[in-house]
Amino acid sequence: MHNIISRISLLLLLGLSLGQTFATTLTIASYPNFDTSVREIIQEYEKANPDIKIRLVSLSYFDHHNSLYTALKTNTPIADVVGIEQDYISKFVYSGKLAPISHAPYDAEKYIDQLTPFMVVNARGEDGQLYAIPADIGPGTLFYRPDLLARADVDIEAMTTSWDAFIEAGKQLKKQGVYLLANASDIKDVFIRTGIQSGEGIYFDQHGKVLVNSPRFVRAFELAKQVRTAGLDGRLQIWSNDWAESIRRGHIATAMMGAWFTGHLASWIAPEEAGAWRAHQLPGHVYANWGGSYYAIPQSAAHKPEAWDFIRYMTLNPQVQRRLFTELDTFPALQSAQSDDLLSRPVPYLGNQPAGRLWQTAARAMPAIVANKHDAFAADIVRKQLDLVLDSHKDIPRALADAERQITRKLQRP
Amino acid sequence: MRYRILADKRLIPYLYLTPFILLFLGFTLFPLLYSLWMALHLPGESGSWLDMTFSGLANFRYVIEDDWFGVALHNTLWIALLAGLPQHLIAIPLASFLYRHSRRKNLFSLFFCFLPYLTSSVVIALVFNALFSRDYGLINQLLDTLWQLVHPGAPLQIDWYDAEHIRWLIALVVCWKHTGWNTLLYLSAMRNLNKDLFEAASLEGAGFWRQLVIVVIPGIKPVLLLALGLTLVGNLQLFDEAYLLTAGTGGSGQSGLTLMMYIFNLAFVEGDYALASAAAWLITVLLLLLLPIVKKVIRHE
Repeated sequence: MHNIISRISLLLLLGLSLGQTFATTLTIASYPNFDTSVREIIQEYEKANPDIKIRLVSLSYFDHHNSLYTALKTNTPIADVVGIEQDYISKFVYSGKLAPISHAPYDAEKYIDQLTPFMVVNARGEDGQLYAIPADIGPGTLFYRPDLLARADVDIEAMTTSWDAFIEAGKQLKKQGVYLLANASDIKDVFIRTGIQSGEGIYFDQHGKVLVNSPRFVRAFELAKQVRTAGLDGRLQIWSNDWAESIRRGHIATAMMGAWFTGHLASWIAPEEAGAWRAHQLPGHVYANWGGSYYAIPQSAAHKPEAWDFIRYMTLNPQVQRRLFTELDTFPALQSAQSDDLLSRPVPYLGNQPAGRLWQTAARAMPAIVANKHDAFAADIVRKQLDLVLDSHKDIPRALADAERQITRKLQRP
Repeated sequence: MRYRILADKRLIPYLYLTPFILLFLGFTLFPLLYSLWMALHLPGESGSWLDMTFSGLANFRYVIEDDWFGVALHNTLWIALLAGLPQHLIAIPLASFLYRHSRRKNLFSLFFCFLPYLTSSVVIALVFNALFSRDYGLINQLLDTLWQLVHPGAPLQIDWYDAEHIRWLIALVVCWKHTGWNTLLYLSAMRNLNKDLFEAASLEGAGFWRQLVIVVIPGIKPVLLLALGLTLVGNLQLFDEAYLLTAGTGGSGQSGLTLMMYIFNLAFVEGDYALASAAAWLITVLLLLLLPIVKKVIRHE
């Protein structure tokens, strides 16, 4: 008897000491460039929390979200913390496979006043609980190359007064052998995010009604078609090698993206061209949110308390959020981090332009967008239809009617 | 006593077969039947397999009426034909040529024939992407140089990735990859032919092409049937090349969307396994209908 007890206690002791030597491994699943923020803080986080080891698993944007969704749906324990992009947030929140973090043992509800309101709205499920915390937002920005504009004798202020002026400037640029945009669909992507009424999303209103056959989309498709017909775009597929190469070689004069694009330019697209790009508000005096990221904890996560500590550190710690903005140009979703001294700081990649001010103005004026769990599907259908309009001369009204029909059909599936 | 059950000799073969039977039941038959079950049901709220309602042929109907299924079917058949036929039209004369000019087993030429088939599709797609890049690709620079010789000052720039060209590019990659494999099949079939036939044909004055028609093709008919069948099955299940060359998007206007990509999107992008199963079964039926036609065509020739 005594023998057995001593053996058991020996085992217990062994177990305890093992637990102390082997730190908890916290797995984080993310995608580029959002993953750089994790890379940035790994060292200091592990130093401050010696019992935590961070393992970052990063896949490309579409692969990450698709495999993550499949893993969650089949209850496969994939990671303790997952990064989710704006377009996918509702799909994941409504999947029923994320842990609700509003109340004990979590305490997310306490912090919501400090976060960008519309991002918080989209992180809530049907039951009103929070399922994710926003990390950064993407104030829509017109990135441009002043040297290329100067060569075509185009003034940035004049070219951004209206969309028509923007396209006219593109014709001047074309004479210099420079493309206005990498792809005509870029203009569609920005335009459908502008002029959104309250209670509406990009593709659906708050009651789930499909909005793709509306004047907003007609105008967006027309602008894109105008750009393509006039030969003002490089017809390059976004994120492709040719696309990056053309930006690097200075064949593209402007790019419309979220503020986060600065990080992409600086880290891999054109690091050598530091100082060549500047930021400006979008043409036609419009403001739009483009992208933004969240962190969430899957139901199947093995280390939920540690995951929550990590998320709090990344999203609710003003110092960390400020540092990520300075280092990686991710615009903080935490409002207390959007301080004046931070935002008026020069951004080295953008020729020391204090672009933070610009982004703050945009962030304040951006319409709130209601997310829908079918956003990613609708975005895909709209992209396919625009391809047909641009490349195969499909009628715009027919393309949008087809898009509406295809999306509605999908919604009718249980 | 203990071994009495084994004493019955009729059971022993089954005992030896048990590992296979278990693997077959678990990893072949069960998934097959389960996918058929899914294709006939609608998923419930929870997504669990217990929570499904019988829906008859509703999933099949949805797939057939889907615009993109039609597009994918059209693309797949188009690429299957365009990538499939040249493979054999090149492979048969090539095998015949190798047979004539390398009496001994020429491993070196065989290795080169077979190399594309051994190379990973990912590597192939990367190389072809670089070669066929619109602005920076070697192929376009070459074509442009040649074109400018005839039409000076008029630059030629073909976008291999637009709606018009992407299917040609995919077909080219598939054809390039599988021609060597078919050559190998035909070569091994020719080695089994009676050499006297060739000698008799030469004595009668038949040249290379004449011999090909009267000796080789009738002789390798069974292998021809096998090779064409494999090509058909392989091309209808085309995924890697199309997915990689279009970066998973299906290309502009979905011109590079194949049936397998369509199923992949249904299952792993949209998360609708019921629809994906239904589409997969439709393709199985299509294959079962097409294979006898191929067989008949060859028998008649």
